[in-house]
Amino acid sequence: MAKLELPQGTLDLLILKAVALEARHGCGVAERLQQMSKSAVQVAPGSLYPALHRLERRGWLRARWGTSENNRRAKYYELTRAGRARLESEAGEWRRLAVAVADILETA
Amino acid sequence: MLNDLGYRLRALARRGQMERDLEAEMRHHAATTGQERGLEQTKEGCRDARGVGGVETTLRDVRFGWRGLRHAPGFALPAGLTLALGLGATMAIFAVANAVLLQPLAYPGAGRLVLVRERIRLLAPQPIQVSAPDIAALRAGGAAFDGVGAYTEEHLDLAGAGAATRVRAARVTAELFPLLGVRPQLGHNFTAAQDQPGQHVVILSNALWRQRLGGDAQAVGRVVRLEGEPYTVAGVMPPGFEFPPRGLADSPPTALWVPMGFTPAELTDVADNFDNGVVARLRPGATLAEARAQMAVTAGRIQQTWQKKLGAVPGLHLEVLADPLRSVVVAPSRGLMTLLLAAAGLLLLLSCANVVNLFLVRTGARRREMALRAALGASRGRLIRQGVTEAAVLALAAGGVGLGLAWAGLRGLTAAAPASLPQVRDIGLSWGVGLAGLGLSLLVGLACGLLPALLTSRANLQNGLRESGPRTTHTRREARWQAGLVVAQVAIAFILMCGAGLLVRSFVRAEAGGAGLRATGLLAASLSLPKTPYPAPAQERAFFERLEADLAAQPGVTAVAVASDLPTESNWNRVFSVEHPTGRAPAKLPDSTHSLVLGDYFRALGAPLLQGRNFTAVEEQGQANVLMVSASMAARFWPGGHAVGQRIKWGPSSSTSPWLTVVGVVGDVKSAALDQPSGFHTYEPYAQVCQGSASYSVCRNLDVVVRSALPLAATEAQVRSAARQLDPAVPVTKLRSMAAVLDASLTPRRFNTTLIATFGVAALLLSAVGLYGVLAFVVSGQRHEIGVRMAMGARPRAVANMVLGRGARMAMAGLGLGAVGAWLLNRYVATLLYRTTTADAATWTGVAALLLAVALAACYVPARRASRVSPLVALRE
Repeated sequence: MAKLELPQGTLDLLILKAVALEARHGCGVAERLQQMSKSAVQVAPGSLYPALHRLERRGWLRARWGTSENNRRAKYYELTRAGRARLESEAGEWRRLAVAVADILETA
Repeated sequence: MLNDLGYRLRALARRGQMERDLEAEMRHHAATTGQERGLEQTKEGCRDARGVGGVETTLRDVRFGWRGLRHAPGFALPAGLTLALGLGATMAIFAVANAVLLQPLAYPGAGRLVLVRERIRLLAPQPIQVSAPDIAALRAGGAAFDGVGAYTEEHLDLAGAGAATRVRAARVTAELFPLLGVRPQLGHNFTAAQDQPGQHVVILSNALWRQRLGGDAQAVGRVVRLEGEPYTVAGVMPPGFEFPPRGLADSPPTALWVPMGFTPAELTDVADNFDNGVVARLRPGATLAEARAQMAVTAGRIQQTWQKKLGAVPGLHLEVLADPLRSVVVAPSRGLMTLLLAAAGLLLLLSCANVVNLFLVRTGARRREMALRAALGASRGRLIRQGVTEAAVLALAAGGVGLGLAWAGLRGLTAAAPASLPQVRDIGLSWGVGLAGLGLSLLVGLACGLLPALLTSRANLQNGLRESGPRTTHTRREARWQAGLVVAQVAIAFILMCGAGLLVRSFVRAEAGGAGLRATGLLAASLSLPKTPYPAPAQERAFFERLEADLAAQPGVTAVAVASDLPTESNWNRVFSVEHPTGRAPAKLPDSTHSLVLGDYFRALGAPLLQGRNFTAVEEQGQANVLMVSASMAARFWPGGHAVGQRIKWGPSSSTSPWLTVVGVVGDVKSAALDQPSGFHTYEPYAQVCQGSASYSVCRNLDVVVRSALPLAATEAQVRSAARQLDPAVPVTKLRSMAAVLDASLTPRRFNTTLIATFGVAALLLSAVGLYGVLAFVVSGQRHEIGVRMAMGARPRAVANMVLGRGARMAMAGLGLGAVGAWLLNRYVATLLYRTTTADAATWTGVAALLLAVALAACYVPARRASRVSPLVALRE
């Protein structure tokens, strides 16, 4: 599947989803997004890291330092309680929007 | 939201840690993915995402700007000093205006204090103080007032350990201090029982208490001698307390207060002695309008009591005015303060123009740097922001220096300020003034930085990079701005110098015009007789006549006389009627300043006798009803030299006072100050007023004038010893040369003139520096072109003339613009001028010539440098 241009604001939602199950570092988030989207979504570091920092500032992600699989110090991001609530509401809205868009497109 | 804010604060506080974490995160990313490209941009994005990018960028710009300024002292020093000068002047003047115009008077709740005055348009257009019997009526009729207090100013003799001295004093009613809301620091205010005739109690000012009683904490109950009689100290006022306030008082500051204690005579002397200041406090909730309405009713009631005594005087109408105390105190200074603020503002504007120009010169030199940074990806906004930050850093530093300048300037300023300037004690650099000054500096910095930054950031990238070597030129747009700014500077300098020139000319004329007398070799001594050995005018006159005779016998003395006041210090005004007035009857009765004289006063002064004769020995005895008048009075009422033999009387022609016959006319002698026009002045023999048992203050406090061939110091010694031999208890309160007396009358004018002249000189220098800076820059930018011209055979003189011509054109344009500005603005100095019109040709041409000369001198150095450019430059560069 070809690479997708992400609509404005979508990246934040996807990042929240990517760390919903377990804490991940920056590369981990990118890998997870690629894997979940079957390579349709590939995030450049220039977008990914600022987004992570922005989400941390908003209080939706919490960061802690840990050791990565290749034995390096890495910054791990995980969802906060507020982040989980945000993920749920955003995901719900996104689904409703997707349904609405699909309905419109499929109306003959 | 809170979390967001907390994060930003943490991010700001732990900037270093955050930066290290970011670095580590990026390293991890690079190591994991093997990609390093674009990580710097990513970092920048993360910094922005932290939400503190603005602050961080500013901090970095501030550091960068500071470093840049330190490495370019040739730019930073002149620019900073120029700004410091403008800012310092503005801050100093603002501090003065703030204290004088904006600060409330130093009494609690001073905003509700009201000054009550009377006005009788028939006699004088300006409000006058209140007659003692009317005060009770004001108190009864003023329901809007919480209290009504009265005071009169006095001079009293205070005897202590040393010789008696004359101190400024005030009689105050018991209500006054409680109504002002002040309590003595020691002791208590006067009680109603103490506010009675013959009560010998006194409240001292803090300064007098320290000086005379050594700050004795047990001072209450101690006895001081006033007018030769023992007075018990009832209280000591807190430091800084002054009443009457400056601007209202004749001669501040007041040293002590005694109870008013109106005598029955004073309380029955209806419609006379309008010398009580009356202060009232508005009741909470009452408005000034209510008080004014009540005073209008009260005025009618008072006038009815007057009619019982005066009968019906046609056209007599009494008004009672109630005005906020502060507005009356401040009113005389408002014009001066506005003028000074405007002058300081112009100087600041000029220094800003200068600094903008210096910035433009500098950006010319930094074009390559800017172009390079733009090429490396700095946005236009980023470059502008950095330029503005740098200017702000410079302006804040200059503001700091300016504060220092203002502080130093204010010390000189307050020392030279006339004593009548209100609140002069409060003038200083308060936190508020300092902060306002730094805020102004910041604003000025932003303004000065914006224009150059906007212009430079527009510059064409390619051109900027292509330029080789250190050569610096401007775009046409920048060059136009530069020339315009120089023109503006010259124009502002012309406006300031023109105002200063007019004031200086007025000052010189006031000083040179003289007082209508020969001041050299003339000494003035003020003496005052205590009541005890001199109960009545007969004894007083005997003392002064003996003193006069003793002094006249001293070696070197050529003339001695005694008078109730000195030239330029008259404060006795009398309203009069002329027996056979010519022409239309005036709307109000004329008035003259008045003096009592003893001995040959006019010969002693050196004032010419123009018509008639002096008082004879018989007339000096006081029974002849005669007077002498000044030349301008004679010219107004009896033109053509027909004054002698004419008669006038004090008050309206219906009054009961006797007709007085003019026996002589003397040349005009200045009565108010050297820079006030000589008005009508009348002279009476001393004994004509001071006789019988009526011992007025004016009969006991006299000035002796002594003309001598000996040096002043010798005459001074003669006066002192003569007075001491007659009566050691009589204080010689002042001993001054007449020149010093006249000079002192110019203190307020000297203050204004010095300040504005300082601004004018500063403006001249700054505009010269501005002109020089721009031309020097232009010449250095055109070296190549000049070199080519030289190589083609241009003569050095022609090259120099080219540069000079360019400077002269800018200067002339500035002069033209400045002339228009001065023409529009000069009317604001018009009220301060003396025998000088705003169109004074000599001032205008003089200022224009001086400015042009300085401008050409400023152009000369760059022009000379241009003429020395070697033709080889054309080949080398």
